[in-house]
Amino acid sequence: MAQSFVEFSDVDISPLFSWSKEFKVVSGDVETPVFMRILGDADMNRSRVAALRKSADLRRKLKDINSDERMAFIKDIDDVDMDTLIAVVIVFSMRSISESCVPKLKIKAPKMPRSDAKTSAHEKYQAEVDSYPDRRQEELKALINKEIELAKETLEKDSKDNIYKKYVEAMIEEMCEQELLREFKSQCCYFGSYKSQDLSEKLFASFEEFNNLEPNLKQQFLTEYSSMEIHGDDLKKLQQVTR
Amino acid sequence: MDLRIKSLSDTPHTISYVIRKRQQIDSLSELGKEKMPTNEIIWDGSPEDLEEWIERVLSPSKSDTGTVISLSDVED
Repeated sequence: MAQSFVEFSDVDISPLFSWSKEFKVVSGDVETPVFMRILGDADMNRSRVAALRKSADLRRKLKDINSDERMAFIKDIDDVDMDTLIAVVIVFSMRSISESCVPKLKIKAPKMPRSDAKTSAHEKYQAEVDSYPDRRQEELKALINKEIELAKETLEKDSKDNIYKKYVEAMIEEMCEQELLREFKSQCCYFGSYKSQDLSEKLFASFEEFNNLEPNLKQQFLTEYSSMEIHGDDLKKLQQVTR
Repeated sequence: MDLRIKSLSDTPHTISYVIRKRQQIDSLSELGKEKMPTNEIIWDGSPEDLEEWIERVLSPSKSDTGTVISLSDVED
């Protein structure tokens, strides 16, 4: 969820420059050095496109009622009760509910005093900045809870067939989203891993080579890449660098 | 710059994001304080939200700087 822009007083831009690292992949007694970097725009785009194709492929299979994936992951209407259907639809709607609540927030961001204002005004502003994220979160939480109750009431009045349709849509959406993220992160590790410190020689000859690693090894790459990442909202907090 | 970065597309996407954002804010500043999008749109809005805002403030009908020509003023 998007954080407030007023947190820029806590900005630390140093993570921007820690964009590569060396670590050792451990497999039994063997330790292999790996050099990893945050991807550039071109490789990011390649990863995104590959992830979208993978998620589209899963979506196609999940929509086919005779596919193995559909039978394995999506329950038949007779095997699932109303309460479970409603609970699943609500849980998987949480993101859109949260997003729809953000514009309804009434809380205003603290207004920065003039640079020549009294120290007490700067102190007051800083106190407002410090408490802003918690106050905003509290208001948002109350709005979200209200929306959830409304959504639940609406669903309870609906027929099982309709709710089941929403359940299937929500399940497919969520599973494809997870597939997209999984694939994207794997692609980032594949493109971002090198044999040499100067980042000139790729570690993996192909994506399949990375993808076929033992889960434990693969996880080590994923964890290391994730430790270097700065997420969108954290980058937004770096807006001091753009002022 | 780091010698390991050999082309612009190699620049870590985190750094290029900040550079692009800096450029975007510089460009938007050209609109002037009154027409500048809000912080919420700049930082949390979608590109479509920003585009919509710019179209709205630059639209001749909404612009307060444009000259309105009445048809009755046009000479035959």
